[in-house]
Amino acid sequence: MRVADAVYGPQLRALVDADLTGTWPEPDLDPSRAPSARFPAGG
Amino acid sequence: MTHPQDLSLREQAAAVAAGSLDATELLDATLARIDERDGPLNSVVARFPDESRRMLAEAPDGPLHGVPVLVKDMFRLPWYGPHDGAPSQSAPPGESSVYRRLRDAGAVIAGIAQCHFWGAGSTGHVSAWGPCGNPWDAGHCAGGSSGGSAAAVGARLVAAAVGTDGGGSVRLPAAYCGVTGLKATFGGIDTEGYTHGYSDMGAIGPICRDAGDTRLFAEVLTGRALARGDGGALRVGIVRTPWWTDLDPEVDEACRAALDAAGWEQVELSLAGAEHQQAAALVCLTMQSLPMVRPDDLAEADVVLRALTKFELVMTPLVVHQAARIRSLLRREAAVAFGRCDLLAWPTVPAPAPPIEDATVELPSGRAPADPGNLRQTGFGNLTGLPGISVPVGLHSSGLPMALQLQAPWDEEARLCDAAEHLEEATGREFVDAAPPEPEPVAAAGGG
Repeated sequence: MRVADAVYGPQLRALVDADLTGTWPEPDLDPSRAPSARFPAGG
Repeated sequence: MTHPQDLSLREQAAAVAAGSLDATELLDATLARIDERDGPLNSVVARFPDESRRMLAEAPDGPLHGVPVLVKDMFRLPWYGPHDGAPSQSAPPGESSVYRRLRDAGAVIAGIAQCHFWGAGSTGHVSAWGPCGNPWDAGHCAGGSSGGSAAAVGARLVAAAVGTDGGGSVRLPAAYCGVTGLKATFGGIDTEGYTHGYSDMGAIGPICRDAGDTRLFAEVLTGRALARGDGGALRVGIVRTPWWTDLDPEVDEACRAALDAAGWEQVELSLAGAEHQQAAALVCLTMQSLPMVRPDDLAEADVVLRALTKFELVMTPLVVHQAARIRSLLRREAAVAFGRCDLLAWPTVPAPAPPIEDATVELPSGRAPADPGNLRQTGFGNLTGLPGISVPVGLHSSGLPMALQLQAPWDEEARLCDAAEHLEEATGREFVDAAPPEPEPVAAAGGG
C-alpha cells in the first residue's frame, strides 16, 4: 500500500480533490466513438 | 544475400505472391532466425512449428499469404491458451477474432510474443517467462505490455506482430524498441478471444517496422481498407501541459525536430482535465483489470503491481466517480480539439528504455519508476478511445530509440498512417530503417 501510495498517491489525492462541478460521466460512454451529442457540453 | 526477415512485411507478401520467395523457406528461415537471435531477448515464448506448417499448408490466397507473424500472449489460438505473462493459463485454447483475421489473410502464426505480467506494466521486465530484452540493448527493457511483439519486430525476427493496448501497451514498447505501433480505435479490431476484451480501455493493434507495413497489417486486422491520403497537409495540436513537460531533454528535442521536419501547421491547445488524466487512467485500469487477478499468481508479480492489487480493494466510490468524470471531460475536450486540428502530438515516452535491473528513468523532476511517466503519456488514448501511433524519431545518446506519438479522431487510422509515412519521408526514413546491432548468435534454441 505504501508503495502504491508513494508512486501514485499525490495524483490520486488531487483527482479526489478536483473541483469537477458541472462535469458528469457520460451516461452512454462508448470509447469506440466521439461523445454523444446528447451529452451536455457543460454538464 | 538478404535474409527474408530483413525484408519488410510488404516485400515479403509481394515476393511470396510473385513466387520469388518460397513460403516454406520463409517460415523455416524465420524459425531459424528466432533460434539464432532471440536468446538474449526472450521475446518469443512459445513456438509450434507443426501448427505453423499446418496453417501454411491450408493458407488461402490473401494479402499476407505465407507470411509469418507473432501474436501477443493474450490471444486464444486453437492450439494455445494465453497466459498474460503469468504462470497460469488465462483462457483455454480457442479461436480468437485475431486468429481468424490472420488465418483468412493467409498469414502464418510463427509463435507467441512475450507479455508483461497480466499486461499490467509498461516495461516488460516482469513476466512468468522472464524479462524481455530490448533489441537495441538486451540489458534494457523492451517495454510493455506488448514487449515481445515490439522486440521481435525490432530484432527482425518477424516483420509484424499483434499487440494489445490497455494503457499504452502497443505504443510504449514500440517506442522503446524503435518500431511503429498503432493502437486502433477502441473496438476497431474485434476483441473476441482477447483476454482483456472485457475492458473498455483495451484495444488491439499492429506493431511493424514502418507505417507502410502498419497500414497493411492494420487493414488485415480491422478488415477495412485504410486509403492513402495526403499526410503533409495536416494541422497538429500541441498540448504542452502535461504531455510536453518533465521529459528527457533529448526526447523533447527529437520530437520537436520531427514535428518541424514534417512541416505541419502547429496549433497550441489546452485540454481541461488533462492534469488528472494519468490518475483517471490508473483508476480505470486498476478497477477493470485487477479484480481478474488470480490469487495464486499474485506472489509472482512485482511489488508495485502487488501493491496496486491491494490498493484497488480500498478505492473509494468517490475516486472512481471522479475518474469517470475526468474521462468524459477528456473525451469531450478531444472532440472539440479535433475541430481545430487533425492530429494531437506528443512524445510517446518521457525517456528511453530503462535497464532491466533497475526499471527507473531519470527525468528533470528526478529519478522515478518508468510506469507512471509512461502512463501519463499514453493513458489519454485509452480513456478517450482514440487511435494513436508511435513513430521512431531518433536515437538517444544512450543508443536507445525515441519516439513521437500521434493521435487522430475516432476511426481515423488511415490519417495516422498517412502522417507517419509523411514523417518518415521528411526524416529520410533514417529512424525506421535503422537496424539494431546484430546480437551474438547463440548455439542452442532460444525462447520457449
